Amino acid sequence: MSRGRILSAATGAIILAGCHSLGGPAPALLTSNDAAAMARLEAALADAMGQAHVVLGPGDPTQSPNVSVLPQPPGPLEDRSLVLPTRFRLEIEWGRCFVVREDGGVRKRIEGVGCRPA
Amino acid sequence: MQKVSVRLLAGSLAALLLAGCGGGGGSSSGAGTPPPGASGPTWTANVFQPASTFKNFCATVRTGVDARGTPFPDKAGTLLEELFWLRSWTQETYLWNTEVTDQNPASFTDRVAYFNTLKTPATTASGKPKDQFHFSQSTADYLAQVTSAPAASYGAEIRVFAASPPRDVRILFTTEGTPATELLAGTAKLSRGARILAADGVDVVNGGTSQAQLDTINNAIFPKSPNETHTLLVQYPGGAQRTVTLTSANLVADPVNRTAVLPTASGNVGYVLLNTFSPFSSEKAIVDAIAAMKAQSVTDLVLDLRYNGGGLLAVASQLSYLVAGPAKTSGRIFERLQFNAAAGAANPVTGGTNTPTPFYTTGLGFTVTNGVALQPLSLPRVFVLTTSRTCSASEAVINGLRGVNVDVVLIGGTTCGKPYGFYPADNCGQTYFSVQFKGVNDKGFGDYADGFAAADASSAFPVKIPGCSVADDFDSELGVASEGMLAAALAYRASGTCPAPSGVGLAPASTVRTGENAIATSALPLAVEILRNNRDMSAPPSRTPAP
Repeated sequence: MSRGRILSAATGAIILAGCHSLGGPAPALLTSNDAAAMARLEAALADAMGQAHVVLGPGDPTQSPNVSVLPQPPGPLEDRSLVLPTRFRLEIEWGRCFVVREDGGVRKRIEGVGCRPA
Repeated sequence: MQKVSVRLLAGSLAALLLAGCGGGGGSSSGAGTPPPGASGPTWTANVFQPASTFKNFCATVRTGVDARGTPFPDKAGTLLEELFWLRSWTQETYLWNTEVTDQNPASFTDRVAYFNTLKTPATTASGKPKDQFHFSQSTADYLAQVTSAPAASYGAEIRVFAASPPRDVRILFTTEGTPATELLAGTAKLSRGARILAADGVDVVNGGTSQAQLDTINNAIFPKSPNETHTLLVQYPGGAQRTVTLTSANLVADPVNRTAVLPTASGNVGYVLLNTFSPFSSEKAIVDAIAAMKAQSVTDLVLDLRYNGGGLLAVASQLSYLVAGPAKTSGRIFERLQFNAAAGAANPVTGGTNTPTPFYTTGLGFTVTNGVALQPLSLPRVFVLTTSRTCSASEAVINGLRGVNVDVVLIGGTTCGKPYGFYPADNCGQTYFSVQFKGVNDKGFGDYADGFAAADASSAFPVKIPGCSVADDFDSELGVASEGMLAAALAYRASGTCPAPSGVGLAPASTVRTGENAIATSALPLAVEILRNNRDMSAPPSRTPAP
């Protein structure tokens, strides 16, 4: 293989890899799940939900890009409740982290938290 | 195997539903009613303004934020505007809106009294009211219940079978690892079927002749806070009596009270006692219980829903998928909502598309991570143990599975008959619960307002499905093969026939009286107090009266 073709292939690979972290949106994981990172994630989710605060469902955002926000629990007399968690996914684009609401596309940036492609 | 779990005792109930009003009703909407102005709205029969016209215009304005930190949306208004909101909201969202008589709101001086007229007066085939589920409560109480902390309890579900002398108060089930199951002389202090004869020295059966005695009884049986110590004289199945001392604790619900695997000659039979779909923890509890069944290669499953009054429909869907598996459920509907005719294809409450509930195949993010694949048993049939307390989302499991041709075998009593649901709605500090939809399965069926019953049930009104009518067996522990309903399921599985004698008319050996009606109609102060305190009395059809 000529040096030119090797260089071209390498350049292509770099560009493709870059698309995930620097280019178009891609599923992402947070690089930390400490209290500060989680607080910033919750702030972004609250912003996306239009609420003062949110309660996160199960899961570790450093392990899975799927995040859920719990609804208000049903009362004791709500025996056929339709409530569901609101589902979000973590995305990375141009090195920045976002939460994207799966049922409506609302997208909010997570400030001050690192993330990486999932 | 038994799991440490505690049933979170639900809110207290009574049954003082006001009678519905008769006849006709409007179906049109338009601009005949002027918007609220200086003189307030005026009534034109069967002409309705959008409910949004009147929403949050309140006679008494709340300020600040609610318990969840959300600012109150109230604006200065009048009682009349609150009543006009109820009228238009009912017209827009009530399932049987054309069966409500349109009365002039100006004739009413109380919002709850007016709300109580906004329901159908019709009855089911059996003669019971079609709408037994119409109620309201203060929003503060509602929010306090949905955000409540663990409740004080002994870890025993206590049921009042007879509220008037001779009273009959018994243990329905207990939870391992709680004060109720502490050992005294080698046996648990409280156990299923045990009858409480005296509480802190007061005769529960025939005493309670003064308010002080009634308070003593109620405080001892239903502790209000943790670390309360009381003594109970208990009679166990078989007749033995002893006095036990119990200290209450703050306990948290675990929806799956216990599981078991019963070996038989034709394979392992799984048993799951699932008491509620309500808390978010029910998602993980069910997934874990079915995983335990799968690990032991069960070939049949007995779902014990006899005390399950419902809860989260999505979790009921997950359970149904875990039973049926992908082959039967792929591309099928667990439950489709039917709203009033005027709604068309829309959901009149949310304003969005009326999207059916599928058979969910992954975690939804309540307590199982969103997107995690569920591991189903993929069984062709399931045995479901039922009583009149098997209600709503529990009935949706029966109906949803039948909709995709899973053979559901019903063992026990007739279910409560509630294919309906609602979205609670706050307006001006009162939260209203008005039936807004009926759930139907993949085959479009949802007409079980008189419940599901086994094929051999005597009543003609419930929907009959294969199985056996069997009385609840209070003399046997739940989850053991000799317990009456479970034994009947195993016998039916082995032979295809019901054990003799069968029938819900049979009383167990302890001759328990069915007492919910007695409680509801009793004039004794004890009955009222028990309803206030016994958070076990949540099963419809009895419903909380509007305060």
